[in-house]
Amino acid sequence: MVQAAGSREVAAAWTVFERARQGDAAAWRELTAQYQARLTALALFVTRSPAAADDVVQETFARALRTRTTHRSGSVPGFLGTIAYRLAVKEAQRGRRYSDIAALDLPDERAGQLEEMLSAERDRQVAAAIGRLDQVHRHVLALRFYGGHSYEEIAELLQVPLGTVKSRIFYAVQACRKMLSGEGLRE
Amino acid sequence: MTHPTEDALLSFALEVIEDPSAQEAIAAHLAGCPECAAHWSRLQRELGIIGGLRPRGRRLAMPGTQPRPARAMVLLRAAALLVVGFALGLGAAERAHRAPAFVAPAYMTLAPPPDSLRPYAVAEGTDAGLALRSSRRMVPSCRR
Repeated sequence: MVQAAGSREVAAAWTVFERARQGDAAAWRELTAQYQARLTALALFVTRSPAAADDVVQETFARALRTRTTHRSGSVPGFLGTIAYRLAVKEAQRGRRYSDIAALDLPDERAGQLEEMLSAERDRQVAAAIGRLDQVHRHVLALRFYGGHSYEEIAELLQVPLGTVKSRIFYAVQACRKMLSGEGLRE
Repeated sequence: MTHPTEDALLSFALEVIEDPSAQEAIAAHLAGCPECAAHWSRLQRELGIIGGLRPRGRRLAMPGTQPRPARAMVLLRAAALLVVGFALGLGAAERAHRAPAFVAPAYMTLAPPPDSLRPYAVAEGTDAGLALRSSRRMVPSCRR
């Protein structure tokens, strides 16, 4: 029953996506309202730059809507998340080449930018906690929580065993909880 | 049953427990233990906070939705354009009015031969004289 409802939701999401692909402005608004923020978070945690994250998200939608193939086998957020993640990793690699020199003088600059787009104080602290994770754990957390990927999809995307993905997500969440607990944010 | 540890509850919340029987045991315990159920609810809320960031992105422009032409199609179009362009150029060249080529004759005036060569000089106005005017190669042979 739950599975049937889930598959209906997936089909409905693809219908909206297809309408947006055909130029329906209302569907486009619905698509961005639903996925833009989480894709921005995903790109932000990978690139650590709000400007780069915005570019990645815009390009993600552009590429997704241009695509010829149909991706009915997966979910819309997973499809968009995979494109966003790959673009963000490329952007991060490109950005690292330029930012390393700047980082020598301003070590905290990127951490400040990471929180720039978040309004609420608690959100900023959560973002800072995720930002303090090392790259492998941060990426797994971003893909799971913001990319809409299953553990199997993450394992395939990162080319690591499923057990590694599960242990990384456990460690990442545990580390975030500890950091947030220290700041009095846990309920 | 003893209460599951916090790590076990977190693993359950994250759906990373491999053993199905361990999963079922925790689910059964949560159904009958209000204390653990409350702890479980707290964990769920925390996960919601960690995964619930919604940063403000910039307003996105609706991208053009025309699919990008395949690479092979692009090459094919370029080749077709080249062929058509060549054919048009060839046709235009064929139809172009061709006037007979006119090459203006070039004359050069040679200095009169020195006295030592005068016996070999040809008379003005003869064929040999014309040939001599238009070619310097005859001069060395005249020196012999």
